[in-house]
Amino acid sequence: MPEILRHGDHILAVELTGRRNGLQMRINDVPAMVSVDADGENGPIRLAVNGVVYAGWRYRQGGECFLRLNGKTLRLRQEALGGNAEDEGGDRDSISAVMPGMVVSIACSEGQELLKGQTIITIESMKMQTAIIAPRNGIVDCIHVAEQAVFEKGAVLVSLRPEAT
Amino acid sequence: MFNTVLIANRGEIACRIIRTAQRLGIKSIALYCHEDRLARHVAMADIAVEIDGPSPAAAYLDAAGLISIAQKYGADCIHPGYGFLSENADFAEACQQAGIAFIGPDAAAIRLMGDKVRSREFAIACGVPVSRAVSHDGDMHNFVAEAGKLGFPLLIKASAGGGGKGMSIVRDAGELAARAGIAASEAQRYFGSGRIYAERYIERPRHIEVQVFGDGEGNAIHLGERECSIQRRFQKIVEEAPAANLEEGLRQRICAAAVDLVKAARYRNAGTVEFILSPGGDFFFLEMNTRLQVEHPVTEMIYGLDLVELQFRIAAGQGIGIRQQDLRPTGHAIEVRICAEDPENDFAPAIGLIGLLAEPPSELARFDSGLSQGQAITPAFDSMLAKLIAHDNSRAATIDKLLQALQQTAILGLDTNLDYLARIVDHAAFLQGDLHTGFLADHSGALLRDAWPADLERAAAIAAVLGDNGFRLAAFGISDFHASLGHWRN
Repeated sequence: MPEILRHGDHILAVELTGRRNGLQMRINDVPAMVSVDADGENGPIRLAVNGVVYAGWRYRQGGECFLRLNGKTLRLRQEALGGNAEDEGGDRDSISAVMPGMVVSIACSEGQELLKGQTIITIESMKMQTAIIAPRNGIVDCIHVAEQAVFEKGAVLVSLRPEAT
Repeated sequence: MFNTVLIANRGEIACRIIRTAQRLGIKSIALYCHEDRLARHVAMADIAVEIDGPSPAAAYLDAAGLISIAQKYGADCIHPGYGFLSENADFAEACQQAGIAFIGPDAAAIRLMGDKVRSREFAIACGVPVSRAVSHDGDMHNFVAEAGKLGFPLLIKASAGGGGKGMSIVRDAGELAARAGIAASEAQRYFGSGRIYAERYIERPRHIEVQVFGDGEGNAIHLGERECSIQRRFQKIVEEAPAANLEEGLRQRICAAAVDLVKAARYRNAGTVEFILSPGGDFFFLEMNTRLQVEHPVTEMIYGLDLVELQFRIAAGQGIGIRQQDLRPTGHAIEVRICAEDPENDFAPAIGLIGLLAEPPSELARFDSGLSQGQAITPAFDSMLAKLIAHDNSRAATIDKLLQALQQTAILGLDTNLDYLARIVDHAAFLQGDLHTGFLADHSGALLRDAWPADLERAAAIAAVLGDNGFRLAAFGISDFHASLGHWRN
């Protein structure tokens, strides 16, 4: 299941394909051999991709990743926010907003069964639409927002029925 | 020398002033509004006092409030920095009346130079060139004769006009009468008034300014010129000293004109005399700023002087302390202003968090900022975040250093013009020193961001996912950042 990132108009799908002597990945079907030298969560980063070194800094905030690599600044948005839920203080049972925004459309209904990765809601933030996907398989317990509703950062948008333990 | 200074400012300039105060053994009092409570100037100062107002900016403009804070905490001087109250004559006067030294000129000089009409008249009286204008007084024959004396090319404009209507560029005397007639009839048609005026038209003008210091007794020195032609939204973003490709005789004439003005005004403390320079070498007085400029560091770098220290010394009655003939500039310095803005979107100001701040190595560049990591950039204040200043023996070497320094600087968490600044400084016309105030507009196409190299974009995507806990878990079998390093570090 690839991680989907948006950079301007470009969509970048990153997939891990192997982890032998470094990492093997595929970005939009282009293979990449990756080795990582420095990898601070919010700090310096240095990696080699297919033998080319990229060095700079990384800062992650909400669903966004700011990078300064080889003297260029890039701002990428994580499209698949599900994988990010833990970072944002959410848990696997509730999907909360990583930034303020507005609900564009709701693609599920209460009681509906969801598969991990399925779009459950589309939001608009900073003039950009983002699909929020299910972080795991589960059943929609409660939808806390309506279409066109405006929400703050951290607001719970959808809850899933707790997993059986 | 003074005992305690109150700094009536914030941000990088407040930090800049505190650094000099510390070196001179002067205690510093910083002011901050609630939004600025975590700012660097607050942490640097000996005393920090919270101020309040209807808006954050208004808090820093409360003249009476600031003076009473100065009195309460025993400040014997106030440094206004730039902006805010720095060119407020009433504030300078109020400080004086409260027995507190205002680090700047006296109120009369601020008033004179703050009045564009009076300051132009004053400059003319000093023999400083001023771009003159001639109005049509109803007699076309007279207008043509008088306008012709201004020299060509001329710009004819409708007095009541705007938007280019009734505007005409006249390149020689032969076409003046005909163009004036057309302009007057167009003006009549569009604006209901045939009144027109003419002024010298300067194509590709350069903005050249001269740093001056006066002692208030009629003595003055200059610290050479700065070029500030690279502007967006009428604000400078790249400045340098000395000006590129400026013929030595012309440089001396411009600096001499500035000193003449300052001596005649019996000006005290630091000031900057701004000129417009035509490609033909004519220069005209624009205005005088009666304060320290944002871009003062480029002058400091080439002269090896601390201009804030000079300001303190003059205000303390120690005089200028430097003779013109002893001043020897060395090399070249260039400053870029790092701003929170989106150059790809008409320089719209950006807000956000300074999530990550990496300053360039100090051997490459001086980095003047008031930033601290975690600080919020709000719409309450100016969008300038920091200034990066490089200095080397030649202009070319300085540009090299500046580019390296830019590459090794990071401010992440909001949009900035860092990449745009690098593209300006790396542009062939900039390298050649072919500068004028329309530079950014003329080269706007070339200065646009190129398409992203696909390999860089892919590397960025990898770097981004490597920051994701879920992905780390899959890649390293562990999501903790520090633990995972052991597996992958060579």
